[in-house]
Amino acid sequence: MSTVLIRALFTSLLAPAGPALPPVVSRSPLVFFHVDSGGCEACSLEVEALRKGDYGLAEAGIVFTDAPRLADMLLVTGTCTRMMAPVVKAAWEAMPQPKGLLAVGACAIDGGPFAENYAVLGGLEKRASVDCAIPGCPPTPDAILQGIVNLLSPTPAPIMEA
Amino acid sequence: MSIPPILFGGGALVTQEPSRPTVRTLIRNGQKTETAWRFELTEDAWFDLVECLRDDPAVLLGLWCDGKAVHAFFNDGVPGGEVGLRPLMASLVLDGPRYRGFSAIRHRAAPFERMIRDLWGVEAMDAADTRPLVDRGAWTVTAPLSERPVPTSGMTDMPEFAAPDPVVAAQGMVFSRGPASGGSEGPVHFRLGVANERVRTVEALTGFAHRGMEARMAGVSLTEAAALSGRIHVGASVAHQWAFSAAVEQAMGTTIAPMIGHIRAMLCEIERIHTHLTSLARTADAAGAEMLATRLYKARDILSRVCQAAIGRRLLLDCVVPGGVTLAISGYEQLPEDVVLDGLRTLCEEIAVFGTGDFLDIQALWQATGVVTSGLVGEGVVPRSLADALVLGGAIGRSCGRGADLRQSMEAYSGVRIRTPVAIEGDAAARCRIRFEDIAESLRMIAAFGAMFSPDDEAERPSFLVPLKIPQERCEGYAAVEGPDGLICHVVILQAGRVERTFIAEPAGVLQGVQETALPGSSPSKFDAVRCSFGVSVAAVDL
Repeated sequence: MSTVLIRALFTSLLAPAGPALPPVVSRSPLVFFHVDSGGCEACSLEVEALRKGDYGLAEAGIVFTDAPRLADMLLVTGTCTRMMAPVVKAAWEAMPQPKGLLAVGACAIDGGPFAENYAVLGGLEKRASVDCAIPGCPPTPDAILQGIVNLLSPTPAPIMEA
Repeated sequence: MSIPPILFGGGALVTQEPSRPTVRTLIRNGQKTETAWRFELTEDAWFDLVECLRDDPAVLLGLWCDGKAVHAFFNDGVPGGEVGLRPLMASLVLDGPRYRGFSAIRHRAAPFERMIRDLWGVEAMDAADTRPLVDRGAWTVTAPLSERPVPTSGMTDMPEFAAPDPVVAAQGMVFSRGPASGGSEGPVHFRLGVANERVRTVEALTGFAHRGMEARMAGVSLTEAAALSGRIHVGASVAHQWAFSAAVEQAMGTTIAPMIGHIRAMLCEIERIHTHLTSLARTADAAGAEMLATRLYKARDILSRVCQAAIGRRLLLDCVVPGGVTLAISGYEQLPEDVVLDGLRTLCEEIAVFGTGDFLDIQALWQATGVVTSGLVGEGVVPRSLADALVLGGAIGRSCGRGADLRQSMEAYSGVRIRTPVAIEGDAAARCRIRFEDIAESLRMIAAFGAMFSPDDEAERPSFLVPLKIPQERCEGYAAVEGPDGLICHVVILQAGRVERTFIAEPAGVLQGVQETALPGSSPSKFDAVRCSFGVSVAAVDL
């Protein structure tokens, strides 16, 4: 039996039960690197839920990596603390071109509840060009996925029920 | 006719020596303040207090500074059991930027002393740990909360680490991980010295997630402070909201309807399940038990979905406020109480279903998976003596044989039976087992709470959100809640209708130190799994 057949068989048997999403990118898969730059970790938890749960990430052509050198998109959650700013910058600089920046949650966009102070720089909005901003405190995994899909699809995908 | 006293045994009556002062009497001898449980001590009395702690069972719950004074919050004995909290606060008005610290005698005070030094520039004399906690030179100023913060020039040099262990230097390697590891945990840097296939030294560099909670929760309105309290750390969001709200209510002298207490307790138990599932899932993931991790993550996601469907929030942020609870059943605001109770009962029933089905399967799968059961036996052992010295609670304390549980004395848990699971091994496997048993207990409690939210209870139906009338004069309140990882304590000072200051005691700071002492000795391949079994959140350490 050819590998294609075996894979098809396995897919039909083991495919996750979540809503199947159309493949949205030509350059598949799209690789994300996630940085939590400080915050209450709620957005991080939701990104984790998206990564590990039944959200059909693979069908949408999205994978996560542990190395920024392999990533196409930098996904930032949490407000940017002064200590994390050089780390986020280093991760961004390590990523190959072309690359994109994704701000997930109110903190990452404009600081949310954690605006600028002695230890915090605030959100990314003012400091970098954000390719996709997903609002919410915290946004649901569905909203994060929807944001990513809408960013990448030529035509916006139909809105899923939350 | 007088009967002589009947004596049993040898007849020797054990009498308390009157000359030995206790912490309680020492503090109460201080100068009274407008708050019944706070006393101002002189420098000498403070010194005596520190010495007295050497052989007194009083537990130091928290140590804070407000620029003018240092406040130490004590409890008579270990909080928990039947008695609950018996707090006393000792304040020392500062005369110069130093005070006699507690950490040499009560190591539990170390994270508080380090935090005070970084934020206020006030040094603890005799401190057991003098490393910085959150200030690594990247801030705009040093001692940002003090009267005259000194500007800095930003991050200039690399962080300093201790010199490597001689064995590591001779034949080992130093590994660094974090703060951006690509995982979902908060930003923290670990420096591991590995030699002979064992982790010999572990040094944690914290401060990446410091947002200045103490500064943010000073001088704000009650609503803002309540919202911030839920964002101290998502794993204990309800517990912090509850502790803050209860402290405000205690300061105002408001009593809350029992039903509101039960709802808060029920939300807190949901959060406990969620946090334990996260910790277990991460442990399984790090240990390489992928199927198990997937099951646990899925269970957690289902729990979040059920919560969203019932009360409009996946994670329970912004649920508890001073005066009651704010729940958006089916996305509506301002619903009649009957509908809310009905929604909550359905939620409890749905969660209880998880306990009788899926949860048992996952538990059985965990027990059948070698890498997380026998693989974690004897790894990351927390000795009983250390747990006792630090008065550990939560899953980590319970895995070392410490069964203190504040829930047993909390009014909100009256009416449900509480059984605190305890193990004595103190290793990573025991911690995970305790987390499973904790989840089972919480599920049982949620089912019991669900039965309480019955519509036929027509006796009285108080509103779920009582508007509070904030007094203009200064008042102080305290509250403690059993959070997922141990005792969470808030002391709130209100003035002119606003929150003047909030003192937060988080177990994570102490647990971070425990983690650093318990992790050496584990094998490098199991390091991540053992670390995840502690479940320490960086956001809660850094505040």
